[in-house]
Amino acid sequence: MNLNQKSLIDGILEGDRLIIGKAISLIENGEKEGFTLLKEIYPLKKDIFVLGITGPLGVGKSTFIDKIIEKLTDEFDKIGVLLCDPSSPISGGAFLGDRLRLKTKNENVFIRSMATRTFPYGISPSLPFIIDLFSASPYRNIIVETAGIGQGDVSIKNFSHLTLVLLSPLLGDEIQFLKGGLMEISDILIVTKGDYDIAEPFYKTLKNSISIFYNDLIPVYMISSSNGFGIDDVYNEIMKKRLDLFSSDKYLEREKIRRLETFKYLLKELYTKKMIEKIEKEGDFKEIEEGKINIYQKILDIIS
Amino acid sequence: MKKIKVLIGKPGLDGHDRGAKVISKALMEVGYEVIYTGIRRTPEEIVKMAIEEDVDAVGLSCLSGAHLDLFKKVSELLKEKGKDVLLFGGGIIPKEDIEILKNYGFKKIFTPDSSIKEIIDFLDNEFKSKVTN
Repeated sequence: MNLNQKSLIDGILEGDRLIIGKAISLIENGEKEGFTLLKEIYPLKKDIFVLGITGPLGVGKSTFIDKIIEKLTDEFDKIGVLLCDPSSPISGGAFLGDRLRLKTKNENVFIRSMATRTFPYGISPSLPFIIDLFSASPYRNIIVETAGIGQGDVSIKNFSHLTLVLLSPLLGDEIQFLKGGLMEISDILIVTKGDYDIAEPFYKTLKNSISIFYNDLIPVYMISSSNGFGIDDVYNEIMKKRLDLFSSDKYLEREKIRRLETFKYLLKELYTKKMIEKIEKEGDFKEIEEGKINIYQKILDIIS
Repeated sequence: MKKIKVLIGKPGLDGHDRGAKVISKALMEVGYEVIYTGIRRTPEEIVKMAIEEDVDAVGLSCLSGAHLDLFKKVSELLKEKGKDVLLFGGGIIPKEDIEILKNYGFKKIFTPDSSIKEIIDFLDNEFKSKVTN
């Protein structure tokens, strides 16, 4: 371990804002230094709690976080917030506009925006590793907001201890709630924009469907982030579930999933990328483009 | 792969952010990752964001006339916190103030007659060597 790395690790352990900011970049950019750092801090990890917030675009995920964060900072010393927003598939750039909703001035909150870098499923491909980074820092209560997602984007579940799914009114009828995917990953369902008249009937339909299809196992709430309605109830539910998690085997079970999924992401992110680079270097891409290589033969050669 | 990150900030009591939004979108379209602060932020908030987001550049927009105080404060706080970053700015800025802002550490100040292309060219020129892929 060199001196530079030692100061990085110390900075992370102490919660140095500047150093954590830089360390996240190293990991996000896929630099070897970032993963060497993760290797060093892996044994220093402590228990963390990840609250996943997901839902389609514009339902009010960031605005909800803005409200709930005020309560969480009363309860916990330090909070980490990771906000995912989509990258442009055309330019590779991104407009990261989540944190403009977060009005907290609390110095104990560390907020980072993350572009999905065209990775699907609504999360940044390096999100699992950044969560590991945070688990060695003082920011061990973490809120993750996905990019606006669709019915099949369920990856967040693998990296959260509790997943909140936010839906806005008029989002569908009970057939939507019968489908697999989003409904199945939610620990708490939240109907947003409760200050609109149209919210109540939607909330009732959703609640009714959940009571029939899920035996009432998923709590359903209606909130309004603009007037504060229902925020306290959701907060209390989060704390109740959090307590239940830590006082049972559930936390360990979720951690098992998170560890394994994180490893699979490492394989995808680093190993696959290396493989692609290798094949490209060998000049096979050109031949593939021109149809000179049987791609199925090629892949069979690689995996055999 | 290294992405260049830019924070577009709106310090102070200024609710006019169409320009900041247009520029943020334009920078996205040429490959920058842009974090937009939203309106009415304090210099302290903007500096906290620049640090947490580990941005390569901070661009401040001000149309209220308070640019001298606000831009100076952001620049001072960045230095104080040890965040090394490229600073640029824009807005309704009188010609005679541009030199003053440059002395505060702002590499370039754009005015309403600047084109989006000028802003992109300025950043591309600054960061060309930093993008590896």
